[in-house]
Amino acid sequence: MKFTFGNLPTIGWRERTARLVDLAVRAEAAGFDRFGVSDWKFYQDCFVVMTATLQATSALEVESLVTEPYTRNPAITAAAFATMDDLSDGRAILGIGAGVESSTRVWTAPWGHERPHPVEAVREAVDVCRRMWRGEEVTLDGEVVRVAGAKLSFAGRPDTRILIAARSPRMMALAGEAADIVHLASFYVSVPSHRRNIGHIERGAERAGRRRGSYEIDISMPCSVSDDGRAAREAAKRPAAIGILWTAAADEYALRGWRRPDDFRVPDDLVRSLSGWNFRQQPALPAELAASISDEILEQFALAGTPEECAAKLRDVQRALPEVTGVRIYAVPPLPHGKPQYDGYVDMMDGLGRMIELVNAG
Amino acid sequence: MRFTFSNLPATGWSLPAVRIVDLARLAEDVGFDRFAVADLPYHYDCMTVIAACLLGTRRLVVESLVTNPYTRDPGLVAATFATLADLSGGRAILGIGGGVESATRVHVAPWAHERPHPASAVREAVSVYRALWRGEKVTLDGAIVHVHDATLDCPLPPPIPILVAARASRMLRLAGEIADIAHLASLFLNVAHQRENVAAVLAGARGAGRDTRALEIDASVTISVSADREHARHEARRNAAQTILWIAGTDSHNRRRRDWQRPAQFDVPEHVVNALTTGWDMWNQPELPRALEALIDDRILDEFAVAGTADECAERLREISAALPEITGFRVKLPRPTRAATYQDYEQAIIGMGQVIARLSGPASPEAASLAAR
Repeated sequence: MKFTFGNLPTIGWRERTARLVDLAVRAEAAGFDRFGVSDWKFYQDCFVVMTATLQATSALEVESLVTEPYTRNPAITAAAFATMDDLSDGRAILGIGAGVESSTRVWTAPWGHERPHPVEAVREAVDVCRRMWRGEEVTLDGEVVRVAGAKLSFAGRPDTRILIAARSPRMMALAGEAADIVHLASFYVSVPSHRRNIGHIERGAERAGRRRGSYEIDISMPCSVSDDGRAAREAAKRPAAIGILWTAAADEYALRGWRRPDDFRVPDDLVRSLSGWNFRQQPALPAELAASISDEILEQFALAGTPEECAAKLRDVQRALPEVTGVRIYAVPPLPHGKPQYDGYVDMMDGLGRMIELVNAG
Repeated sequence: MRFTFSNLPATGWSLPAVRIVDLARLAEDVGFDRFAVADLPYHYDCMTVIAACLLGTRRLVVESLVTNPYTRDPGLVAATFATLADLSGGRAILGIGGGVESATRVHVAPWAHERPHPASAVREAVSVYRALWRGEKVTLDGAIVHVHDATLDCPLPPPIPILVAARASRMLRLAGEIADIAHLASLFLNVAHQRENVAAVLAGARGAGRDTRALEIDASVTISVSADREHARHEARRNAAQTILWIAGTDSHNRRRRDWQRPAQFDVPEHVVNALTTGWDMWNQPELPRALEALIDDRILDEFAVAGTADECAERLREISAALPEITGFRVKLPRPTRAATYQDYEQAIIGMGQVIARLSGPASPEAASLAAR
């Protein structure tokens, strides 16, 4: 099981950049294999933070979680990742998704704030990057991506890894078809739901003639760990609420054609109340909404409790979903002033390290 | 006088990116104040290399030389430099130009490979950067730049100087009007020509009501230093040829520029310009053919490069400085070692330049003194 620490900077993060780098150093020491850097626009720049964390660590792999194909020219992205790969002896991973769920969208010609054809856009961007890393001169007049005569001026590494983050069945199939690491971005921690997701991935992989096991599958889990299990569960309610809104398609950027999973059992009145909360603008979950998320509901959308409790739950997931090769820990420390703070992440790192140790020990 | 090392990665650079960081460290040690990273499309990524150089050094200021307003979204560039400045305690400079002279251009909607309205594009991009760094919410529908409802969500950065690189008169005036550092990109060292450039910059500054004393003016100079004088001058001829083509407006990119006029002081014989234009593709052919090199005599060479021993180079820079007292810094363009270029070639060139800096400013540190002695 590979562990990825993700996903900073996050909404409301107001700390200095050096603190992101410091958390990467601590994550490496705690036993994490990877560190995911978000590409939230107008926060600290994803590629600069990645470069800095790669420079400050020695074994940690660092990934964008995730960039997208609209705002940054994919040929420039290819060059940036080849540069980071070169600087870090192959520790950079290009994580990409459609960017349709971002808190802020950059106005980009010719689409403005729209993000049309997300699956095709990701497919085209991945194609451009891989071909450039192989040393080809690339011209592509795609649905979204347009590149003409792009060729790296230095030797890229053709097998630089690509992670594709997916929630919709089509994107999952594309990830199965083209990604080295398939990232299941859903926060819905339901075994039947993930089994269906894995089915979509395998359909895509089959289409491309890829065999099971030749690609990794990461799942996303909001995670709050503390020796005080109750405090950990309280802190996890915010990402659980986000997971509920996403899964219920009650979020303003709900995926087109999204269907609630059949086993989704969150009461409609709770979904309705939560949908009045704009999590992109308002970092803290209002107390009355938090109170309405029971432990039973929380369990379906987050990993929360003592390190021992969390490790036990992860081992259950491992047994139920043996295809899953890694977990992206979306760490959620308490938000004492409604904002994510460095100290909270630092405090949680020891607990996360203990949890990783317990899982790895079997 | 500030010295800026430039400009890696260059066309033809084939060493690992980490070697650029090593050279930045060496440049810092020999006494350079600044280190410039090129934004060549599809080469090692400028912003990534700047980050690595800033983290690999302690006091060196690192700049993009230069990015452009077309290829990267200006709102995101503002966030990128805010991050770089935050990481480095304010050692980042955002250098920008029109991007019209790049060997490769990125296909960008809606202009494809064209780069219309370069001066307006630079003006708009700079206004976006500064407004975002001040914490403002920015919407701009400019001639080139379109930004809607952008606000920086990261901590506001320490002051980030903006450098505008310019060769044509409109861009020179714009640099005077808005830049913290006006960068005279012309490598034509004719004093009268550079005086005109400085005058254009100062006119822009005065027109904007700026105190011209607060404005830095950097001049680009090709400098080739070696204890072997003839070797230094031989090395500089390739760059001189490149500059002749730029200034004559006859290379493949400048030919398409409508705003470029040969300076009145340009007096390279026409047969030399023609021979260089037709006999050498500087963008794709690293070496200047020997027969063409022979056409560049010492008089022509001195118009386009400072080349010789450390003493000679220092003396020449002193003369330029005395003739153009408004200039506050030199951006040193090394003659690119070609074909058989090794890391040691660059290392030697930087150490040689350190000897020149030591003659002009005194050794910056014990490390610089020891390197200058090598």
